[in-house]
Amino acid sequence: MKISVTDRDGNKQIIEADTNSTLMEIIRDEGIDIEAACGGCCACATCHVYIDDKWMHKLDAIDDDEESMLDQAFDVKKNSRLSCQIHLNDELDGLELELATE
Amino acid sequence: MHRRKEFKASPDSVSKMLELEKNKKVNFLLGQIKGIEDLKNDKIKVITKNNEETENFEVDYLLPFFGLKMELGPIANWGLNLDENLIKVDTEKFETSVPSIFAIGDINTYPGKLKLILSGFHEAALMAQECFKYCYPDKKNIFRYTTSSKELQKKLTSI
Ligand SMILES: Cc1cc2nc3c(=O)[nH]c(=O)nc-3n(C[C@H](O)[C@H](O)[C@H](O)COP(=O)(O)OP(=O)(O)OC[C@H]3O[C@@H](n4cnc5c(N)ncnc54)[C@H](O)[C@@H]3O)c2cc1C
Ligand code: FES
Repeated sequence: MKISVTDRDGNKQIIEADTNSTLMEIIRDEGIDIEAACGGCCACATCHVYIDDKWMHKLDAIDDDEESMLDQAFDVKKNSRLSCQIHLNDELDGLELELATE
Repeated sequence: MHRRKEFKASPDSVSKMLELEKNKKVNFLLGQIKGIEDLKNDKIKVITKNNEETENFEVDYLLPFFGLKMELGPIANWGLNLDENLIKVDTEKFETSVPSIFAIGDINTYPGKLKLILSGFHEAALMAQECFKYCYPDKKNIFRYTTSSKELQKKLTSI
């Protein structure tokens, strides 16, 4: 499966993804500049991404911990998510997202 | 100012805040800060946005609380031996590369480091042994347990 990641300079990359890792891990392991300071513990909000609107409803709903951690992020939008809290499944093949401002 | 009506703080603190708002002691605004500008009159202009609405405020002080990542700040310039943004220490005394400066807890690093509360306490206990020598160079440090030492028990109950 593949996902599309747009970095903060607007460069779009199509990268290989799998269902064993979180979205954050896939982006980070590809060498794309995502900070993910807490390593995926939902404790830093530096893995903040904007999910393309047409994919939003396919993701698992945001839980309380993720929602409140988003309070610590800048420029939170309706399509904001913490990528370390998103597990991919086959339905998300082709997912498009953009890295949020730091 | 907060992004949403819900807060993660303890319910008691939140209800105190809401009580203050009711009594008009606190002016709570919903939204996010989009920008800040220094004004000539010693004030700060804060540009805020809630949904699509943008507003400006002038404030005397701004206390922003964002992010939970570790940053050394000025400590990065203390000349300590660093490993990225962590401070290297030895595992006997947890002293940094600068004698008499110690680092314990999540901020330090050494082979096998685990970021655990337990590890932080362990590091503190060992570090304190060395600190004692700096603080009381002429005194002998006698190892005692709180379970059996009357002196330590007295100290603890008097706090
Ligand atoms: C989500 C999560 C779950 C965890 N669960 C567990 C668990 O179940 N069990 C476990 O053992 N460990 C757990 N940990 C790890 C544990 O929380 C840490 O190892 C421990 O809190 C580290 O303690 P510390 O005193 O070194 O640092 P902290 O508790 O981070 O304290 C550092 C303090 O320094 C302050 N500070 C930072 N910069 C400055 C500055 N420039 N000036 C003044 N103050 C400053 C900070 O505000 C903070 O209060 C968890 C961590 C996270 C993120
Ligand atoms: S990596 Fe820290 S919240 Fe996601």
